Amino acid sequence: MARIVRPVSPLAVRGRADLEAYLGQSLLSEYFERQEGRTRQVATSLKTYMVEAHLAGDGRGLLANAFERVENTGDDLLFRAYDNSGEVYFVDALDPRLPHVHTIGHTNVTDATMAKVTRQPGADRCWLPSRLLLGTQLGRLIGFRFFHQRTVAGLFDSEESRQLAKELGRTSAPPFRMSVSEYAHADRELASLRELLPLGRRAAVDSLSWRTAEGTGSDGFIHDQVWGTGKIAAYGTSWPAHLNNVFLLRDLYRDALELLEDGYAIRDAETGTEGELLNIWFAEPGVVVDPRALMDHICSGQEPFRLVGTYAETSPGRYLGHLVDLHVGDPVTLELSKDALRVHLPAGSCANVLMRLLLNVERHLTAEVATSFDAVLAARA
Amino acid sequence: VKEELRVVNALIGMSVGVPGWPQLLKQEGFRLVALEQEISVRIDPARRCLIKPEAIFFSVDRNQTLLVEAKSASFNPKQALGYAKATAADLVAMGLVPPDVDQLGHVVVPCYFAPFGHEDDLSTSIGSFNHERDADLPLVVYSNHSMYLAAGSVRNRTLHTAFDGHVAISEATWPTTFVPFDSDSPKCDIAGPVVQVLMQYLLNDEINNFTVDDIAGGHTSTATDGCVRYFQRLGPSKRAQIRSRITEIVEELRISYLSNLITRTGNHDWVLAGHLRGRGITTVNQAFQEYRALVEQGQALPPPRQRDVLGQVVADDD
Repeated sequence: MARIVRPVSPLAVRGRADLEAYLGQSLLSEYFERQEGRTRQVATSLKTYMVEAHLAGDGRGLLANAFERVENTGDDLLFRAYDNSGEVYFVDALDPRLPHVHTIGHTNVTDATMAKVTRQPGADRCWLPSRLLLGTQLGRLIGFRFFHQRTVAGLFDSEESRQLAKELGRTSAPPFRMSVSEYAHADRELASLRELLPLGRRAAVDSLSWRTAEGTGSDGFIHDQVWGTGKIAAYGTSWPAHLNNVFLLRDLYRDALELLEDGYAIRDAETGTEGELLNIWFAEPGVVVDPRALMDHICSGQEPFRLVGTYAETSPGRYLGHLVDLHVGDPVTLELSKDALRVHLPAGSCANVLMRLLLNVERHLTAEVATSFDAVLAARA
Repeated sequence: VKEELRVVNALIGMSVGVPGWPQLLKQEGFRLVALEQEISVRIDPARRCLIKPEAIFFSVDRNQTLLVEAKSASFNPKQALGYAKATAADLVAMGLVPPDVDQLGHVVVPCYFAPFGHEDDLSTSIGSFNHERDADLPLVVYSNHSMYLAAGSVRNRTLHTAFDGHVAISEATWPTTFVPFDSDSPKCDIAGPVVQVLMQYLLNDEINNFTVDDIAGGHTSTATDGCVRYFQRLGPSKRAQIRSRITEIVEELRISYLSNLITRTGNHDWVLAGHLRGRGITTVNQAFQEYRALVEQGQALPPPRQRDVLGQVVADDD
């Protein structure tokens, strides 16, 4: 078991102003790991996880279920939490709807812990669909990553994919992943690969990597890799630049949720019923071959959709589901056909379900989609 | 789906935003304010009659109220007279439009809708009625592809112009979710929305008891709506019918699947013994799906207590 020796103790963090000293160790590779008598310098990225939460009180209850131990810092809305591997997390709940969690622990451990946190009732990831990610501008784009895997029932999968899965002894083909990193022309290549490659169009943008030097002083910089699942992994020399990017993404995400909830949710106002239904059209032809099987999957309560409920066929090939979002127990009504998914979000329901649906449609059905709420996703960064 | 519900959903869809669906009513500022609300109309100095439009839309922008009557066959001249003669005063008296509305300038826009294939007789009847009564009652006919004016004229110019041509619509985008059922819908159509509300209660620690009115009109402890839009504004007889249909479904679910989790404490009242967690959610979800499928296929439900889900939930948790 590796023992991590960090010059700055997590206990030294008594408020937000102390975070830089502790988390900056990772940014500057200033700490060491001892394993089997050998000491080596460690360069683990700083990770910030964006969470969408409906916190009761100060949110400690939600944290207590997912972490081994939760402690107060000197700040009432900044918590120090430990997972069962001993990794340390700082939970900043200043924004109760969109708290974020900083850690310099190992990704394989922290990803699992944060999955546990965001699967609890009341919590969810911030899901950043491709369109929202591509609309952001956090500096110079120096890398990107695509992801796609058809593990959901009722979808078309090519003969080649099925054959590959069979050869590998799996039920589904391995995911398609493609990464480009540290490349000066990443923005140009991203556009052309998405345009030219069939898989480039079908695959979701899994992450974008940005290098930000502006405003960080002459020699300061930050490299932020922003994942669609709400993680921002950073290395570099400027904690404020990283925080600036986190705040920017959080603001964009909050705006998107509020626009969906205030502008689209169907509500019975004093002057009558208002709102809009939300459509996700599958632009890749033939991707859904069996909408019933897909609907079965969606309302089974499984990850990643987290929806339960019942559905019925309303006309040939068209299904209507009256569902409940396990994230917060809110109702949401879905209509599914081979061509589109239509969402009726009632007033009072959390709009994070829309982001979750869209991102996972991109990752597991096709990223060749059009939506009726593109204006919401077109980030104004 | 009942034709009346198809019309109501189609028109609500036109008044809010539905991608790929005409937004005629939204453009004119019409918003749904009531469903199946009875209105007393003075049809001559000595007589009044009650009309019950399927849907009522009010436009502040135009100072107009649209009364929607969905017809499939019979034509009632007295009812038609009520639609033709309805005034702002009648609507104000029923609380459907604000009392400070400009009543003199207010235009009531009645409109009959009928499915394609049923329009011939209705069109003739409405044409005769309009001729005899010097009225302008319109009939709009709809198919899976279009809506068009078959008789009379619509008192809103934009709507008249649109329906006088053909308003293109598509079966693939026809809205269905705004009013998913009414009191005489098949049980399987009511089961989905009722189960949806029941599942919310079973997941919400703050809800320990509920009534049929909570399911229909929204629980006081939650910010979300019930499964019947404008339930509180429906007439007493309509509310009673809906209560009875919902109670039947809740009781079937309780007796066949959830008797240890839900206790009946009155005609329309229940208490929850606990809330769902972990695998219990999946188990109850599967039970609800089984119930809906059995109801849809008209098959018998499991005998009481032989399929008690809570027993399984407790076993799972143990």
